[in-house]
Amino acid sequence: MNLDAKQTRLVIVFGVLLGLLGISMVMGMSFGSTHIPLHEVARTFVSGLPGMGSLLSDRAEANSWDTIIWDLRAPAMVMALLVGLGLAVSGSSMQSLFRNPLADPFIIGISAGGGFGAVVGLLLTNWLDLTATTYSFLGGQVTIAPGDYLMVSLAFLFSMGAVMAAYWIARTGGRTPVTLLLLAGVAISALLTALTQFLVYLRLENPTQFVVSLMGSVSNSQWYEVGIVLVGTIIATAVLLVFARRLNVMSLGETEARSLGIDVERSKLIILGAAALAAAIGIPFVGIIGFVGLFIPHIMRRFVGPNLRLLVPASALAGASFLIIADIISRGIFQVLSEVTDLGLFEDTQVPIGVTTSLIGGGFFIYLLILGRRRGNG
Amino acid sequence: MKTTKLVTLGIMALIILTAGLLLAGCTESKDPTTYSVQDDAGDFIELTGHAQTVVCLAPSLTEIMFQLGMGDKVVGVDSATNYPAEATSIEKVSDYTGVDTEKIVALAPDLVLMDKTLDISGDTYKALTNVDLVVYRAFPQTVQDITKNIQDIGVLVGAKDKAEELVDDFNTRVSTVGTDASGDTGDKPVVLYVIYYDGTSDPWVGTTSTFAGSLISTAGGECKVEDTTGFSIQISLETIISMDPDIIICSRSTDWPTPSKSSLESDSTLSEVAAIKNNMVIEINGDLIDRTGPRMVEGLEEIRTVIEDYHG
Repeated sequence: MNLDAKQTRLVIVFGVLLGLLGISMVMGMSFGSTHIPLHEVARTFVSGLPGMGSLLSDRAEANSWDTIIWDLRAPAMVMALLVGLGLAVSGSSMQSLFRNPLADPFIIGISAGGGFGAVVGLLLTNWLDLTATTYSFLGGQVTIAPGDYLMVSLAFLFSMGAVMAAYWIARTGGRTPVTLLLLAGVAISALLTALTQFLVYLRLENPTQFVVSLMGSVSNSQWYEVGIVLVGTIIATAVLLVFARRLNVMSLGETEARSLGIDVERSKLIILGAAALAAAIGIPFVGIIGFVGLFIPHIMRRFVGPNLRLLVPASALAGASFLIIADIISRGIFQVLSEVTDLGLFEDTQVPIGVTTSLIGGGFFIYLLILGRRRGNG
Repeated sequence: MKTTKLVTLGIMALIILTAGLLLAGCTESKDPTTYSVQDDAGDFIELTGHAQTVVCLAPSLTEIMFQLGMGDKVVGVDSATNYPAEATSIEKVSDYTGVDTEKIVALAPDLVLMDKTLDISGDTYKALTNVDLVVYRAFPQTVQDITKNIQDIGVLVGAKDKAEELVDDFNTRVSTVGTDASGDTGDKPVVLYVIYYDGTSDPWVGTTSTFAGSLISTAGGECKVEDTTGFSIQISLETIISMDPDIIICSRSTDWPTPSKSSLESDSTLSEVAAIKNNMVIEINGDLIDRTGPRMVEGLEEIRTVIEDYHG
């Protein structure tokens, strides 16, 4: 097989991304408040695979390690992977769709809509008393959680509604000016965030816990929740990959796309729906996580170019790795800070994952703005 | 496209593989007796043999364990735990942002005690039962409910007699205060319980539906902040002036300086309020009033002392 320079470069990029994902997955399983030696992590992991029999060591902690690895760290790690993947995939498609490098689920209103939908769903769940039930099924366990399905559906509907509203407000005479779209997104986000807070205080649910949970955390994710997010992420990613070629043409201009026989409005709606689904599906479980959808596609575009058939999978891999690593930083930052500074900080406290991503992503956003300004001036 | 397919396949495989997860083996116990209670959430908690290791996710529950003489069985506590002193050196497994499930699993406790008030959404309970921990949920609504928690925990940890003893003492002291209060002559003093005020935003106060409200009325005072939610609320200075409380009790934290008393006394708009004019702004350790543990009866007695001073 002969590869030209461009293909070689792509093979290297995707190889590195896959390797990075592998390493972050192993790291995600290895870090936690309990120290478990790396070989015991591996042993416990392999032992949990079907057909392996129990390879657990005979150490007293082996049983609790099994629970920690398989019921706590693995679902949290896979949840971070899926949510990061969904956000990055959503961001890369929306940046092309809006022909705007600043279109990000967080800025455009998807996250705020999802957060509002999740809170409405949670209140309805409590009000209707929809509890999750676990059934035994073919030797395994299946959890039916109507409350979670309701939350996910509402998060999706409201995020879709928010982004369509922003788009509709910003659209003037067949065009969608960049600044107007961003301003509309910011306004709708502010409105929905205020409504969310209003609901939180209106019901007098324990507000602290509510606010903390919307700030984002993957810890305490459960397998059935991971399953729901998995299904949504697969559907959304598949749709975006199928529409990648059409989106490539559309990003050249809607008139050009139309002249090539593409049903632009219909495609736009489907892509928007899939992008909203990919970004919103995780919100009911891990809260609002900002900026992943903005800067991951940005960086990946430099490596693989604007072709979405490459950009979407590259962003998916990078977003997944990034959120797993961001979660590790969130969990460990206070531990490191208290060891380095000796300030007597709460070394057991963890920072919400959304704080970590916004710290990194917000910084990157400012960098982009300054870069854009310099270019504009020069 | 191919890479994404591989990744999704990999994840799917992971999910399916968990179905084969083996359940943790049950530990053998020498005591085959089953101890069972119904917790405040209505769940039946069953233990084979008494719990030998216990995690307490609220300071009040840690206090119950220590008062039962079972402090040495407590292996994990909440970061707000400050009493008794020896409890503060126990490993912290939770704080105001939530619980560290992994740490609790590593401690492998026979029993986890939690307060449902701190887990309205049920997420913590879900996470703990998901990893097969035995969880007792306290959810006291009245002072009397605390004695039920003491009795339940006594049964589960093997301190039934000590629990009965504690509850008898608790009940006797509560009814003594009640009897004393019924002998009061003259008007009941209006008592305002201020949890926090630093002069920058409206004071947080106890209401008729909080424990502070019921302690005040048992002790012979009148709480005039009407509310039904069970949470403390903020009221304006205007409301305080028109309420004109005879006594203001300020919660004092044992962990940090509480500015409530000095802020109220130095606020010129409040200078005509009876309690402030007559030097009846009294500080009481807030843990004795807000914390639904066995020391609440001490808080009740301290409030009663203040009301007795008022009557002169």
